[in-house]
This record gives sequence, structure tokens and C-alpha cells, in this order.
Amino acid sequence: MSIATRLILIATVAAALAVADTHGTVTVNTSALASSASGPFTLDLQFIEGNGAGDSNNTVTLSNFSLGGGSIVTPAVSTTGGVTVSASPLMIVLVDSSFFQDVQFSFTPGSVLSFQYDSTSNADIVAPDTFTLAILDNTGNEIPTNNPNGLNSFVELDLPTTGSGTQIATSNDTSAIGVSSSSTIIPSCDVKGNPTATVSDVQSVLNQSLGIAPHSNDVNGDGVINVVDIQLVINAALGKGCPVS
Amino acid sequence: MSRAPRGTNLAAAGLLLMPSLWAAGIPGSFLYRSNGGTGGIVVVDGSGSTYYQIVPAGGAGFQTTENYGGSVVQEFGPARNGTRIAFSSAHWGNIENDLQVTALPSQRIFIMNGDGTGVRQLTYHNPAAAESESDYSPKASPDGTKVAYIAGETIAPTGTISGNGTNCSGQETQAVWVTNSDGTNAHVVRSTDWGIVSYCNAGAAQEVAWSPDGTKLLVRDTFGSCYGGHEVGIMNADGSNYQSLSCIAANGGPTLGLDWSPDGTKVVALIGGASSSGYQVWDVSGVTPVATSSFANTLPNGSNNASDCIRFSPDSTMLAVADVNNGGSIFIFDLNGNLLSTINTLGHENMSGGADAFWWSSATPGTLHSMTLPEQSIYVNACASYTVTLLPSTFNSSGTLLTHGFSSANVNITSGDGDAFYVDPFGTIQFSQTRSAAAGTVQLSNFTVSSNMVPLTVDSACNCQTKAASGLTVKRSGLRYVVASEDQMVQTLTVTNSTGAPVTGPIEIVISNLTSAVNLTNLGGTSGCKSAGSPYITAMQSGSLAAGASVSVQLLFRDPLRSGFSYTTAVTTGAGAP
Repeated sequence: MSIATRLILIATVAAALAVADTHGTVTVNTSALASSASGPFTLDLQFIEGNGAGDSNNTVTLSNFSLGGGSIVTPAVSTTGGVTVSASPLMIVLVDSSFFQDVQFSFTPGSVLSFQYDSTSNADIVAPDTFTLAILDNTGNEIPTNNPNGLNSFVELDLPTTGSGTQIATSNDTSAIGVSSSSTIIPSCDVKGNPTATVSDVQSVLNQSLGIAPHSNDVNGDGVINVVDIQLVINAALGKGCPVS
Repeated sequence: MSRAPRGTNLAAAGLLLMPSLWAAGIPGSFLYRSNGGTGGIVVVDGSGSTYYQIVPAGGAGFQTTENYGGSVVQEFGPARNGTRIAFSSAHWGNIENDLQVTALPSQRIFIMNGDGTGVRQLTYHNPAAAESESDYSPKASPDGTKVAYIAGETIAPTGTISGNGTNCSGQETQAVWVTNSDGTNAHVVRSTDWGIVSYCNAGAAQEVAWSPDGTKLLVRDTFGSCYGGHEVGIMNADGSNYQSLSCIAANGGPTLGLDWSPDGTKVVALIGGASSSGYQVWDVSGVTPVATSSFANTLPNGSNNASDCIRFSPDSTMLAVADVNNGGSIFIFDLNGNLLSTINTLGHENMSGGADAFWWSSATPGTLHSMTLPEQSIYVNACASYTVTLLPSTFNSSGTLLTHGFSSANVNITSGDGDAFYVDPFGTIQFSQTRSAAAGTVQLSNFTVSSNMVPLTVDSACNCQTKAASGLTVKRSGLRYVVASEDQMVQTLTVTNSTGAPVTGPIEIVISNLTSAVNLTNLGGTSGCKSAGSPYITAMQSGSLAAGASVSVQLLFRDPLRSGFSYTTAVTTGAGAP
């Protein structure tokens, strides 16, 4: 079946699936921090509401922490907003019940900081709900990074907003310490930020695969946007879910 | 009665007033801080006679209180290229709202263009600070792109342990910071050496100065190995490679007085003890600084109580020392302390003391524009939003008129629905048109001027940018509260050109309906057309944005309560005002 034929079929689908979760693994290479004179360090996790006031429409859950010989000290140094921390095993849940969610931990770096990331992917109207991870040095400032939005964060996840799907930015430090980050986070198949995946999401990924729109929705996280990503979004629009993992 | 033509840009018709620079054989110009009067910065040439004034524009934002008289600018540090002036003030409206544990407001750091326009607040009260403490010693980098300063509300991070094992986490202290001139990337470059400190006696930062190439800083503090006494040292601008130059007695020794020579090879500091002090020059052109010449801190008139400000000459061969008594004098020495020349009085307005009393510059920041009025009446084209500024006359100490302006505030606006005027803290009359109609003529009349030469500026000549086509869209990134950006919310806006054709700059984004308790701190200016009074930011200054291309700009929001905010955007393009 050609892509064009599939598009026609999709257009007839009356109801599509509910918004899929975004999930995957975040990995920050912290080996250079262990010997850095910039410590002690603080791990700073923020989840900021995109609509301006808390609407509780998205939840971020962080679990399965691996610290490569390092440690995160509980209880948290500070928590603000919709934050819940379970100590053993460590699990952090952030709900955008208010504008500003923030949790900070005293953090002894090991070789790596990695954890499982899961979130809902409901779209806000004007700006995305945003999860960020930063590491503060002994002055209380963020270790500067090359985050494209100037957020000094190693990881930024912008959940969907109207007209835009989930955006993921992993960054490296710019202060010669040598911290780098990566992720295998899989965004939802709802690439346009609508309440459900529809034909417009398929068209958007198709345009990205053809190079006539910026590459922003690598749905299966394999580094390229191609027919596989298109097929996943088609399946989602047909109500077959977003089975990427 | 004749009229200026409708639509005439009155400012553009101005006469440039420039000081003569090499009068009396003394090169360059002196900039000093006025103790009262305009409350701004006075620029005087080497003869001490020709001068003009730089005051922070937008005086409505500054609140002059009885506690502080008229000194709006409390410390200042100009960029060597004259483009920017960093200054501290306790008179901005946002400062007055700081948490106050004392009756007096705290100073915060600002920056403005060399002519006093474009004022931007760079530091704010730290909500994590238990007490409101001032930020001070602002110094613009030589190229004007950065500002070094001392922040009085620096909080020791979690896990800070002093040398005797005391937990000093959360201690409010001082540190030397550097920030970009747009307020971004503020970060600590020198702070307390907690491994030396006993208990939480964190010490104090006192003064900072840039090297002329902007790569290094000269600092004075009590943070380091001279703990218990003052220390002068040099370091890279990021705080690395610190080299101590001198330890100074703990009690009674000088705490101010630094400068780095314009040729980059020398630094000078006032050093010594309680009973005697002197100026020491070091050669810093090599790997290791070498003390060279020195001379006693004794001014020719016998006064040494006002000599904590010292400056190299523009050619690096001389040193000047301020005496703020009797209106302000400057003594000029060679590098061995031999008196070469004296400017007996700067006179025009009294010079304030302190480490930033004056600067000796080869550049001449700030100029005044003026226009000749055919009669004492002004007609201006009444566009949707405009501002007219009338500057006061200035006089020298003998009462001789130096620059023309109005001499009284007898003002009447005979037409113009909704117009109003006020006299700002600098004695300047401001007219701000507030109505929305973009038509008609406003006559300003019945005001008294000292002559028909009136300095006058008119912002907006009824020339507004056009609203961008619908294909020019704005996408917002997520937000993060960034400590290193002076505790501000950071967000990026990306403008994408989907019109199918190139769009010619400038491209401005007007930020309207912003939640009232929240400020956009890196605004490019205030809209007078699209949404009068709303801030705007420039996404692209010039050139052309190709079809399909995008351009991004970062926004810095101060949201003290972190309780959330909203705003709307509108894109305007092309020549004219946003």
C-alpha cells in the first residue's frame, strides 16, 4: 500500500488513539565531575507549566536511577510545587499542578547518571510543559551547557504544544569539565501536539522525511526520520497505539 | 508663528555639541559622578571648562527619595570604547520594592548606552537572601559587552564547609560576578576561599577593574590567603590563574583604589596600613607581576581623605588622583609621583567621592542634540505614541550658561487629547502622548526657555513598522529558572518565515499583556505603535530572513514569586518604530 493510499484511509478514521506516553532513558556522563574542583554539586530538576498556571495535565516520572558509583542524597534539599520523592528505590514524580515544580538533591557524581523517563504528552496551548535537568556547582550556578535555548540544562524535554510535538535536547557542558548527555527518549506519535494523532501528524512526519520540514520527530529514536517513523504515526492515527520502546 | 513641518524628525535636525579634547595639554576627557544636581555623570575636558552631562534616560523609572537626594548614579564604570556605562543606583522602582530590613534601599547594577539611553537593570534582589544587601563596583568591560560587579547577596551553596568545619551553607556573602550586558550568563568569578575561613567569616569583596583587552580582572578583597587583611590580585576574567600582588593591613588600611593601564602593561593600587598609604605600580606585562614605582598618598593640598580613586591617563604615562573637596579637583602625576598638572576645580557640579569618583577617558561618550526654534513654540506631529524631552539649561560654577534649555517649567499643551507632561528627577520635562489616534498636531507652547536654542528629542516620528504577514510565526520554547541568569526565567522565541518570500529586517517581537508582576528584563525597548507601553525585543536587526528560515531570540523574565505568567506576541517588521 502506498503512502498516499494510507493517507486517504487515515483521513476516514473518525477517532484516533489517546495521546501516548513519552518514555526512554536519560544518560549523563558525569565521570569528569568526580574529580572536579567545582563541587560539591547539586542536581536540579525542574518541570515548568507551559500554560502559565498549573493545569495538572502532565506527569513526569523518573525511576531506575543508576549513578555509576555516585549517590543522590535523600531527602531532597528543596522541593517546590507538584513534586513527590520516594526514597528507596528513588522515584521522583513531577506533576504540573502549579507553574513551577523544582526539586534539588545533594549529588555526588559517579561515572554516570542515568534514569528511566516516563511522561504523559498532553499538549498545552501557547508553550510546552518543560522538564529540565541541570547540575549546580559549588557557587550555586548551573554548569553552563550548549543547550540551544540557553537554559543551561543537560536535558530539556518540551512536551507537545499546539502545532508542535515533543522536542528533546541533550547538551554538553561548555566549561571544559567534560560532562555530556544523551537520551533514548521516544516521543509520542502525536507529533503535532493535538489531542490525538491524526492525518496531520502523518503529513508532518512525511514532510520531515522528505526534507521539506525541519527534522524534529524521530519517533523511533534511531537517528533518522524515514518510512519507519511514518508507519508508526500511521498506526497511531489508525488507533493501533504508539508501540515504540 | 511658524511651524516645524509636520512629520519632521526634530532630533535629526540637531546640532552636535562636542567637547574640545586637548585643551590645556591634558588629553582626553574626565567623567565624574555628580553629587546631587542632575544626579548623573558629568563629562569635562582637560581644561575643566567644556562639559556636558549624561543621565540615565527614562527618568520616570528612577525614584529620587529624600534619603538619597539627587544622586541617581551612585557608582559607575564606563567601557573604554565609550559605548556603554555600567552604574549602580538605589533609585529604580524595582529596587524600592526589595525586601528591606533597613530603612534604606539597596543598590542594584544597571547599564546604559554612552549617551544615557537604553537603561537596563542587570541585578535584582536575591529572594534567597535573608537581608537586602547592595550590589556595587560595576565596571563595563572595555568593549561594553560584559559587566563585572560585586554582588552583596551571594548565597553559599549547600555543602559549604569552612576551614574549621562549620557548615556555612546558605551564608549570605559577597562575590565578584561577571554578566553579559544583556543580563545573561551572570556567574561568580571570585568568592570566599572557604577552606581558609574560620566559622563563616566570609570576608568581603571591595573593588574590581578590567584589563584593557577584557581578558583579565584586577580585584581587591579579603577572600584569599591574606584573610584578615585586604588583598590585591589579578586573574583571568573567568576567575582562573589568580596571582596575589599585595597583602594590606587588616585594620585601617585602604580598601579602595585600583586601575589597569590602557596599554595593558601596568596596574596601580592604593596600598599600605593605617598610618600611611601609597600608590604602588606593578608591571604585569610578563608572566610574573613586578612592583615598579610608588609614591605616597599625599595630595599637594595636604588632603588624603578623598584620594581613593586613581586613574591612568589614556596614554598610560600619567596617573590622576581625585580630591572631591571644594567641588572636585584632579591632580596629575607621572608614575613616580611627580606633580605634572592640576585641574583646580571641575566645578560644574560637585564630584562625589569613592573608588568610582571619576574616570579619565580618551573616548567621549554621550552627546547632546539640540535644535533652533524659530519661536518659542513647538508643533509636533501627533502619531499614536510619542515622547518629547526638553532638557534643562546647564551653567558653570560662575553662572554662565553653557547649554541652552528651558529655564522654567511653565508648560501648556494647547491641543492633544490625553496628553500630559511631568518633570522627571533630572529636571527634564517629558511629554508622553497617550491617545491611540494616529493623527493631528500637538502644539507645545507658553513655556519659557533661556533662548531659542532648545535641546529636544522626539521619539517616534509617526513612522511605525508594519505588522508582519501571517506567515511569520513565533514558536516558544519551554521555560527554565536559571540561577546563572540572575535568577530569571529563560525562554527562547523562534520566528520562522513561512511567507514564501524573504522578509527584510529589522524583525521585532512585541510582548503584550505580560502578567503585571513580571518584567521582561532584556527588552530592546518599549513599543510605541503596536502596543504602546509594551516591551519589544529584536529578533533580527538587519538583513533579510530567507523563505523557510528561522531566527531565535532569548527572553529573560523576572518572576519574583515564580507563580506563573502569560503574554502574547506580535511580530513587526521593516523601518520605523515597533
